[in-house]
Amino acid sequence: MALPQSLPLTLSYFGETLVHPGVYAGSEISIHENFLASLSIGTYLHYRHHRGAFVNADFSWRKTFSIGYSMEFGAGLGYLHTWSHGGTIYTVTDAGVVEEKPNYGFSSLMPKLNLNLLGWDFRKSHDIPFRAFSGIVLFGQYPYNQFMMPHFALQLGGTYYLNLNKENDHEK
Amino acid sequence: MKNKINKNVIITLILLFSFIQCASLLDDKYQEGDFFYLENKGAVMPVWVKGNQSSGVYVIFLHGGPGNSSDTYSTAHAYNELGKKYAFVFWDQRASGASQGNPDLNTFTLAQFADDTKKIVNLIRHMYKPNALFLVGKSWGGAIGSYYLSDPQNQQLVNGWIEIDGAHNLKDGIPLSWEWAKDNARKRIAAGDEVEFWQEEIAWYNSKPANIDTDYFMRHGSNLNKLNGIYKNPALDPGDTVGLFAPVPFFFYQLNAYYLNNDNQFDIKNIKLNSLMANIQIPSMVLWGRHDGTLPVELAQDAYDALGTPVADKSLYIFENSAHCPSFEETSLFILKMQEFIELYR
Repeated sequence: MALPQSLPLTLSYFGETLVHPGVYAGSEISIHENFLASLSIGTYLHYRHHRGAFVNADFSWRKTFSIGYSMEFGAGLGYLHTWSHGGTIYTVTDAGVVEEKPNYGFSSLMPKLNLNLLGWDFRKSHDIPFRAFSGIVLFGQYPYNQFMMPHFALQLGGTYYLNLNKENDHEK
Repeated sequence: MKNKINKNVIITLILLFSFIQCASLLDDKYQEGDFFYLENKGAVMPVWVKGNQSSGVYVIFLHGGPGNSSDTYSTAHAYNELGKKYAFVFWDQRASGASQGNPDLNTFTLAQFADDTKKIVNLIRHMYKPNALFLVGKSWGGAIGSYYLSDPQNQQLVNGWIEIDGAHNLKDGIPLSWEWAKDNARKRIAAGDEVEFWQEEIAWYNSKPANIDTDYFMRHGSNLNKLNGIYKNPALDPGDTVGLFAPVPFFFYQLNAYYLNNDNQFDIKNIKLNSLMANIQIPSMVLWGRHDGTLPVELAQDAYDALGTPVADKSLYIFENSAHCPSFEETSLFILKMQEFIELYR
């Protein structure tokens, strides 16, 4: 099996409900033609509601045109851990005793759909090992109040293709 | 080549983190006061204490639903004005609004909601040592407060109770609401207004039992809205106050109400607290909108009559130009009535 010539490193803004800021980082491998698998870890903050941290595995179909434009559709599954944010958590016993409670947070399943319609692969257009992308993510948080709470997020980021072939580097 | 790569990467990173910084905002209207959570039986419920805490008077607000949020009221003009005189405690009940966790289905009972209220009262008393504490129950909150206060021990912690267009008697209230909708639909037909639509709706009402199943709940709610049974003057409807920069999950928080009421997993249609309300002896006030279609005005007298409070300490006031939300439709008068009551019994 041929070794990959580059290592894709992705860094992206992940804005839950667009404006609750976060970031994720990850990598991807090509499976077959336009199909990829990716792994990412990330975090975001919904101020005075929750902080989320997640790890996701996704499968995507990405089409890159010769001019550089690319679009991508994907689905994935991951783990989301959320912590209530913005204040101390208290409990009150039946006897009326007030205590502070550690914020252990909640574990959730995170199914996910990606739709990136704005992408540009600079490897095609400018021979630069970089791809920019923007799109929407729809993800679920289950269980949440006995159902699956949907969320949407804005992705805005880039993938840098780190050249693993030292000989090519030397020639440049 | 490397310089070009570095430049693009740097530009991307700058754009990324600039966006993050610009987006790290909470709407100004949420900035004041104290914010914390109460965890009870699997639910993590946000609590926001705002207003004039130096007054020593705390008013705990029990929101409607089930499954809505205190957000609509916490930043409303009426409560902002009242907040200049008193401290208000806005909290989202379990499986409602901004509440988190995954409480068991068996905790979706009126008794559990009342237990959560008890814990909130204890928490506020512990943290703030108020000179006076009042409970206000709006709509579904009226059921919770009535149930909570039916225990004489709980009444010892509360100076006064205010029920606003409350759900203390849904067993009679839901059928009354359906009849209200049919009566007003007939008026629309008589006026030649959307005749075919309202004929179809009346036929639908007649074909279904008065029930709180989610499908009926959604359709009936939509009809009430069209018939001005929620706001007599729709122009005074504040709309969805939950914006992108709100703590409450934008838009999707409404799914809490949908799932809480779905498939009767929270069986509220048989709630009739009148016999328990005879135990309530503390000063009480009943406020109602004349044109309320959600919980028709007959229930106002029903609440007043059920209260065990001595006549000298209980009152009933009907807002003649309001439907289900007098705090929005007759704001000045609403503020006056609330202040009169609180000042009398603080």
